[in-house]
Amino acid sequence: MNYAGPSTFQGEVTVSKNGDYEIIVYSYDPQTGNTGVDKVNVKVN
Amino acid sequence: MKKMLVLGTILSGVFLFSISEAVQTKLVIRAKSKDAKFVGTKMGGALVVIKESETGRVLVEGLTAGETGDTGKIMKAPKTRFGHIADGAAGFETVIDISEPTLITIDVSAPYMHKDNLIKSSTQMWLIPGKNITGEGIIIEVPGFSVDAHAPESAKLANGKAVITVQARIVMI
Repeated sequence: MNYAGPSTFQGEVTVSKNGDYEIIVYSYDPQTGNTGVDKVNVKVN
Repeated sequence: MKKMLVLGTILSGVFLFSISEAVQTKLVIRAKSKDAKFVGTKMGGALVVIKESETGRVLVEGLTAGETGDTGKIMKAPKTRFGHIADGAAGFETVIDISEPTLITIDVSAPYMHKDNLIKSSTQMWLIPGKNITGEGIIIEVPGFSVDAHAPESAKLANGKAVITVQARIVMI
């Protein structure tokens, strides 16, 4: 994902099959060890 | 004579126990984000749960409230022994009635505003009747980021593929 403004990041996922997808977004700072995760669901039809 | 002395010791022990009364003891708990500032009202606070360690009984719970603190003191100034970093920063102030030294477990979960991102940090300490823990209080560090991701609920295949744009807001806890 790329920086897209203060505290905001954006990226694209390309899929080629129908179905229900779960996209997992994680953050990781190797300097501090801070991590975080969120998940979103997308239906492709 | 010897028996009487022993009995006297026991009685004095019972006597001391019987007159021990609950004493109000002040306690301040603060949640500090790792590599960042204090968790305050802006993030919905941090949930503080204080339990009696031996029994698991909840003594008190509440949310930290207030500002995130002084950036210069927290993030820039060199740390020194007895140095204060929490002046005016968010915290949870409470009073606990205890009649004897009590081992307590303190759980801090943050950020309360984003429950999907809650991280819990814990510590234990002995609370002594009448011996207040105020000022800086007990500072518990909470590691991690709060990640809030968004994407469209659905996408359609076009020419055999679908491009899904994902955006995430990522902030320190």
